[in-house]
Amino acid sequence: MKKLIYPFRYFSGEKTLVAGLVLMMVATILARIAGSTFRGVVSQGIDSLSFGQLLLQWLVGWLVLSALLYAAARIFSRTRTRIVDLVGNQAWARLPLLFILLGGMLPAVRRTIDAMECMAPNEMMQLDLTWVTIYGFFVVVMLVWFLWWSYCGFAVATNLRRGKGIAIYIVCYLLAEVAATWMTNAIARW
Amino acid sequence: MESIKNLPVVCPSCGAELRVRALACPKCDTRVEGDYDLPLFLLLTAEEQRFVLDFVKCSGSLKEMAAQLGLSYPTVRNRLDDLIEHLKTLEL
Repeated sequence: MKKLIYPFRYFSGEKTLVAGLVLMMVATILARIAGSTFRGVVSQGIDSLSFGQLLLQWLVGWLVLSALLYAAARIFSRTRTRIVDLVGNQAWARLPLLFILLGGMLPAVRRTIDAMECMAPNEMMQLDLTWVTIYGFFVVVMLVWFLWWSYCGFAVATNLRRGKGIAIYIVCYLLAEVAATWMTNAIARW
Repeated sequence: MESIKNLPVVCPSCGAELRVRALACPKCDTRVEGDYDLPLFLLLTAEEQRFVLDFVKCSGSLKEMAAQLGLSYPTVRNRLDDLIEHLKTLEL
């Protein structure tokens, strides 16, 4: 159980980087099959993009956050941060995003989401939203899981913890979300 | 089962750092009295002392220590950094 809650206490660096790269390939292939896209650091949407565009979007979401966290570590951490730890941990912390993608591929969820795409807001109440509501709760849980792992990966790699570490992580995350959203939208327009 | 006795380093009454006032030979019962500082190593917590011993036994290799403890490299390095910080505060 501890390995699930605090994975980076036990695995870090090269191991998490390799696992994260495998995760990236699986997520990109699934997104291509499902017609999903990656937006910002964590968001997903529906669009028909090429494999290359999807791969770039995933890379942007992962590396923009990693770069900002590394820059913050260089400024605030008294520990010598290894890039491979920070980047590897952030790569593996994205595992819950794969589950969001898989959940969105469930036929009942996908049918409703596709129908909602073509409807005006007042028409949506005619739809059976049970599965989408369940999926919505699932997404929230997965996002909390992602944020926890991402923060833990940052804390282990940089030794920036508690109040100071949390504050730095939140600022970096918000900046990364803005930058990555702009970049992933630009990639989608190519 | 042998009971574990931890060396007290802080006064249980007021929280001040304790000092050595007496030493005794268990063989001949000779006693030495004075006023001595506790060595820095003994001021560390039991967990920190264990860490120092493990670190020395691994010839100072954090990678080897991480493998032996089943922890990641940065986790062990962070513990060492925290220990260094603690030592710095004790030396002040």
